[in-house]
This record gives sequence, structure tokens and C-alpha cells, in this order.
Amino acid sequence: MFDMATLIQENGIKELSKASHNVVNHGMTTHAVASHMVPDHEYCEAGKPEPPEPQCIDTDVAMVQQDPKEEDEEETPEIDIMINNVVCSFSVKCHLNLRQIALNGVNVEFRRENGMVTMKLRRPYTTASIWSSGRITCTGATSEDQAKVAARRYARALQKLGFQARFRNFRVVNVLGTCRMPFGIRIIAFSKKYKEADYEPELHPGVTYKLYNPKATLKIFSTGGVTITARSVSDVQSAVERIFPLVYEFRKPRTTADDELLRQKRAPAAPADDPMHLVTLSDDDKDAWE
Amino acid sequence: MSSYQLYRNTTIGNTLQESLDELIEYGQITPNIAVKVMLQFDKSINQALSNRVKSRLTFKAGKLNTYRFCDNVWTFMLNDVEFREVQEVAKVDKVKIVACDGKNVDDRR
Repeated sequence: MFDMATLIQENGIKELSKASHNVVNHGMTTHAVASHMVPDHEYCEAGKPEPPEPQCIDTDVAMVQQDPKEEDEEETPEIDIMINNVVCSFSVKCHLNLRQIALNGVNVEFRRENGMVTMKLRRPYTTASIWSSGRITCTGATSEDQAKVAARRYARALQKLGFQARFRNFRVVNVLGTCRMPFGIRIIAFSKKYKEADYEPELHPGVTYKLYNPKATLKIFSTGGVTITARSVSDVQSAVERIFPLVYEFRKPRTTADDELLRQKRAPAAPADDPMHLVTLSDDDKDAWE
Repeated sequence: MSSYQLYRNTTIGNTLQESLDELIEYGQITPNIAVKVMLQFDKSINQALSNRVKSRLTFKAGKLNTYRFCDNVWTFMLNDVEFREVQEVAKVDKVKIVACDGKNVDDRR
């Protein structure tokens, strides 16, 4: 039960805790859930109560056990947030001879037009941009801890090359996370209600929503996928918590078209049997012209 | 128009260099001539390899140990490599590849 979450916890992501969402119409209670995941297919439709912790299910069928503390309506299902990229920056506090690094270093590229050396590490798999001033930017890590480990390894590599490198001013600059809502989103209606959201379908298929506390940028797609860029992993998490009720309001049950598109994305196999059947990601056609 | 001096550190390049050094030692040529010979060698070997070589060789490595890119020159260290020509195979544990850009140099095709 608890080990289901270790996959994600290894990456340093904390579970989305069910903090109070202040959504009036659903009145969800503050319910700190134990670390377990409710996979998408177990997500119940509106009206049916959510199955509580799996351990109390006696029958084999996923029949719902009524938990008197829970609301009759759906609860926040667990949403796993994947951290895809952590960008960090640090300084070695000494001038670096880029040519020397380029000639003696391992796994390096030096392109003069960029004025920096690119060095890669195999584990954790990261890429560092090294400037002659001693500033280094490390990208590609999958967690804040991994980013720090990678940064230290780069500093050590520079030490081994003979520079008086010290590990200073480490800070995480950017974290990119993605998550998928277990429902589709009517982004046209969403962008209409929230004027601060940017939706330009001819430029990008997602709505860009900027949060100011925590400072984060979210891209919301009609499939229910959301990408979040923020200053730290905790900011990403609180951004998802903040956006969930906003997006929940505009949920749409995934149409067969969406489902098919998702299936196609997941398993790019043989083309559709019926070539005439047009599968379009139709976004809330009903309210498109409201 | 100078060509890559990449091929001086090959068997043929090294023997040429040694022969020239010997001739200089015996006073039969001047060092200036030796330099001119080596430059001509660079031009000729580059031309010959691009125009007169038709055979094709492929290789596959178990691991790319390190790579380096500096001054437009790629240096690779490979491990556990298998070179394959049409009917011949050669297996080696370690290979160092030094590669210069083939696009820019364009002398006397």
C-alpha cells in the first residue's frame, strides 16, 4: 500500500496531499491521504464516492466501501507529478581556462561561438554549461537532490583538471514538472473565465496560466495534461494544488476521440482500421461559440 | 589553401618525416625543403583519400568511453569495437578516433 508511492518518492516528489481546496461547490474536506495512488481507471464518475484506502477493501471487486468521513461526491484523486527537468546554477569561484578544460576534460564540447564548454555526466544524466567566469549551469536532473549531486560532480571534475574549484552559491533555478488530470479539460471555457490565462490556439494548443504565488507557469491542455515550470519542486506541487480546483470546474469526461488519441500516443501501432473514421481532438464543441 | 595536417601522424606520414629528418642530418636537403615536402604531403594525402579511395568500412562499438569537441575536431574513445568490411572483420578493444570536418577543406578536386 505504501510501497506504491516509492516509485515517485525516489524521484523526490511528494504526494499531492489533499489540502483544503476551498472549492465551494464540492466542499471537499481536508483529508490527508496516506501515500497510495488511485490509478486513472479507478477514478469514479461524479456522484459515486471514491474508494478509500485499498487496504479496507474486503471483496476482490473494487466495490466502494463507504467511509462515513468522506463526502458523497468525488474526492481529489491522487495525481502523480513527474519532475522532468531540474535546472540549477552554481559557481566555482575561480576563473576557468576553457581551452584547457576542452583539451583535457572528458565528455566535453567547446564551441567558440557560444563561449562556453558543455560537459556531460553519465550518472546522473546531466549537461553542464561551463563559463570562463566560473559560473556553471547544470540541466537535466530529475530531482533537486540529483541536481546537487551532479553539480558537485562537475565541481570535482574541474578540481581534478587542476583548477582551484570550490562549490559555492548552489541554487535551483527552474523545475519542470508534468502531471495528468484524470479528466479532460474544456480549455476554451477555462480561458474565457480566467482572463489572465493566455490561449492562442494558432500558436500553441495549450492555455498558459501564470500563477503569482507560488510563482509558476502552467500550460494546460485539453487532454488534461498540465506542465508546470516553477522555482522549486515544492512550488510545482503547490501550483498543481492551486490549479486543480480551477481546472476541475471545467472537467469534461474524456470523449472517445480523446481516448483514442491518447491510446495512439501511448502505443503508436498500426493505423486505424477504418481510414474514413476521422478522429479529431474536438475541444468542447458545445460551448465553442458561446 | 592549407589542408589538414591530420595525416602526418600515420605510418606513411611518420616514415616520410623520418626520411626527411635523415636527409637533413646528412645535409642533403635544407629544413625549408622538408617543410615544403610535408605541406605537399598534406595536400596529396587529403586529395588521394577523397578522390581515389572507394572501399567502404563500417564499425560498431560496445561503448563510447569519452568524446571531445574542440577547434572543430572530434576525438572519440571507443571500447570493444568491431570493424567490418564486406567480408572481413577486425575486433579491437580500444579505438581512438580523431575526426576533422570534411566539408570545409576544398583543395583542387
